[in-house]
Order: sequence, then C-alpha cells, then structure tokens
Amino acid sequence: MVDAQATSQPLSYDTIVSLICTELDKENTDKITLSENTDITSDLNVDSVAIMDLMFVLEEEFDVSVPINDLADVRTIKELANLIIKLSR
Amino acid sequence: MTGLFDKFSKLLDIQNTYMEEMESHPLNMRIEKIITPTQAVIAGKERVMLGTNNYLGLTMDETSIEHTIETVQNFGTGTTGSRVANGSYSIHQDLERSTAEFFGKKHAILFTTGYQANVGFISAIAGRDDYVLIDADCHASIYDGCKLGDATVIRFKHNDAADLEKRLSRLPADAAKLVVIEGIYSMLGDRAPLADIVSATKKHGAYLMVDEAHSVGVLGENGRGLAEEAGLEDEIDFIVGTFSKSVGTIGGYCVSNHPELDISRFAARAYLFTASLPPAVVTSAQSNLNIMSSDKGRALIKKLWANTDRIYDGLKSMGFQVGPEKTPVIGVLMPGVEQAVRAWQILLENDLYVNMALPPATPGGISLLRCSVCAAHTDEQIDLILSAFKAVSDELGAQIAEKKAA
Repeated sequence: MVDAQATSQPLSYDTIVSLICTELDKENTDKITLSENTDITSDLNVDSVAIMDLMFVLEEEFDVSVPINDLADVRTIKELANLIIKLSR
Repeated sequence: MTGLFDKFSKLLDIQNTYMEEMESHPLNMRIEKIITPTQAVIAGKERVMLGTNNYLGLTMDETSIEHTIETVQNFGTGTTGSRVANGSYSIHQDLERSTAEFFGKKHAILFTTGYQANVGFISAIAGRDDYVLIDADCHASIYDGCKLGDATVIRFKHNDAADLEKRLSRLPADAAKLVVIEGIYSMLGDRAPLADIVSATKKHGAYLMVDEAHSVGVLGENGRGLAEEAGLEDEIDFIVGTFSKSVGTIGGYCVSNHPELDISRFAARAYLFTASLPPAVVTSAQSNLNIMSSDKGRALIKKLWANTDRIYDGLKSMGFQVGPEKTPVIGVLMPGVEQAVRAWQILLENDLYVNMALPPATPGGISLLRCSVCAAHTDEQIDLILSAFKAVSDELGAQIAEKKAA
C-alpha cells in the first residue's frame, strides 16, 4: 500500500505518537497514562470497531489509507505509529 | 492462567447487568408459534412482529407452501452434498437462471446463505495483489469475506463518495480494485449514494459490488433494489443478495453480466465446501421470486411503502430519533444500552416485537430498536405498533429528548 500523494515533510515518530495519544485520549474513559507501549485494545478497553473509526481521524491527519489487514496486527501505540510511518513513505 | 472465556467478560457484564433479571430478554427469545407473517406467539401471548426483515410477507404464501411440500416429496429433505459434488439438482440450476433473469443479468451463482455469498465471493474474487474498498458500515459478512481473502482491504467513510475517491486515488493505477457497498444499510435504513459512488468507482477503473440484501423487494418499481431505483443497473458489476428477507426463505446469490462469473464457483470456498440448499428452500425461493416478478409483487411493494409512511412518520412525530432516510428498515435510536433494553421490554409488554441492536454490531456505538416494516402489516397492527411506542415515549420520553439535545 503506497500513498501516491506522499507528503514532502514526513512527520517524526514522536509527533505521530503524540497525535495518536491525543485521539486515543478521547476513548480513555479510565484515564490511564498513555505511552507508546499502551496496548490499545486491552489497556484502553476499546473495541475493534471503535479503533477502525479512530483510524479515520489519523488517516486524514497523515493522508494515508491504513489497510484493515495491517491494523489486525497492531496492539500498541508504538506499532500503530510505525505502521503509519511505513505507509507514509 | 488465562481462560478461553476471559475475552467475553465485557459481554457477560452487559448480559448480567441488563438482562439476567428479565423474564424475557432480547438474547433469549423463543417464538412459540407463527400465526401470520406479522403475528406470532411469544411467551404465551400473540404479538405483532416488527423485526422480521420479511418485507413482503411472503413466508406464508399458500401457493409457495404447496409447491414446497411437493418438492420435499419429490426430492427429499436435503441434498447432502456440495454443488460441485452430488448437490446440484435441476431445481438449483433453474433457480440460478430465474435469479439472473429477475435482475436482468446473464449469470448467477447460488450460495447456501447470504452470509456465505459475501464471504465466498469476496474472498474468491479479490486476490493477493488486488484491493477491496468497503463502506465502513458494511455487514459483518463483507468484513469476514475480506478477512478470509488475500486482498488489501481499505475501509472508507460511510456513504462518503469523496472519501472513497481519495482512497482510490492513493492506490496503484494498474491494480484491480473492488468497491463494496450496500443498497440499504441494515441498522439505520439509509441508502448508498449510488450515483456518486458509481462515478468515483468508474473514474478509477474499479469494479462495483452492491449487496442488495435489504433493498431487493423494497427499492425500485420491480423490487430489483437500489440499482433499479437509481437507474444505474448497467453500472453495477456484481449484485449480491439473500433469499432470507423479502424472498422469505434462506439462500444467497451473486449475479453479474461478467462472462467469467462462473469460474469463481471453483475458488469460493464457502460454495465448494458446504452442502447446497435443501430442495424445499430452493422451491420456496423460486416460488416467491415468481410472485415478486408479477403484478402481485409490485402491489406488495406499494403496500410496504404505504405502511412505512405511517410507521416512520408516526415515530418521528412522537419525538423518536429515527434513521436519516425513510425506508422499511427503521432504526430507532436509544440513548444507551439500558434504555434500549427497557424500551424493548415495554414494547413486548405492549405486544410488539422489534429487534434490539447494540454495539459493537451497530455503527458508531449506538443502541437501537431496529424495526422492519412488512407489506402484510394491517392498519390495526400499525395502530398497535404506534401505541406501543407511545408507551415507551411516556416512560422514557425525557431521556430520549435528553439524547436529542446532547
């Protein structure tokens, strides 16, 4: 999956993690501390549909389409950030 | 040590919190007797059925029942084999021809259920180097077909042709792409914006598949679904559907004008590795499809819409938040799971059965009372439907209004 309209200024890993945390914080009902090692499903108790809906916001932000096949392997914020970096290249 | 059932703890919580104490609850429904397509006995009492997907009321057509009995006597109770082994009878092939003819298409493949049609066809047609783009609100069977296949799967925003187009433009121009949408979405009853989706799809040379499960027998003068209603039948590559709603029995199909459609029979695992439809079901589908192709069928569609007008408008005027478009699939939004369960109970106490739909089966985490209108609903039954909802409004009105203001 390649982004045909790749951005000229690739975002840094830290920026991406921070944007993901901002979005995930909206689902953070137990108000746990979010870090790159937070497990999105088990620590945040977010169901798979909510994660897919959340992706719309991140996809818009990074101008990529994240295939749902790839999303199935993502557990942590770190893995999601790395996936977005890979797809943005 | 982790137990296999630990993953269900959240579901168990919902069940224990809301439903354990209830004498009858939505997850433990037992229908004791069917009186008519719109009337059944539940918990010892006659109830009006407003959650059956039986849009044309064809499940108890006397002629279809007679033909079905005759078929059982001639062909037996089951085929005991796959379509590619001993499970391909003349009646299966006749039904394939009639299904293709109903849609004005050249080819049709029968599946044992609508679920299997989506799972079987999508996983077979989209391979490793291909892309499938699905509407976010597509049915679980479409998601499962994608999961079983090898293609790259991209989800676009519900009914958003601009988002679809943006995503199509990100993909390699020469790759094969399949766009999958539904005619009517089963939770809120809204249609796909077909003209816009067709235009985005064609611009990028993609194929278009429409799941018309809830729109066949409902949309279009002849009941051929959204594609007929929108006048875009020639633009659709594949129509997938089911006999389990308007057609009043069970079974799935895929129809198309692509001459190569037939070859997918040998790649669709949900077609190959399951027994074919039992003879009785084949004849029920054939017989009801014949009715749908006649003046009687077209009259039933008109009656269905007249009933829809009364029920949708009635619910709306009582202050209920209903789906955005008026169709026979009416999703009534509830503020949360607790209110949905209570409302469902009040309706049953007032002799009305509807479906209850809770997250994650619903889009956006909403809780719904899901109603499906039937052509066979009588004026008196619609009076009962509206008065049962009035009872919900009387008890939960403030909470429902609160949700609307939020």
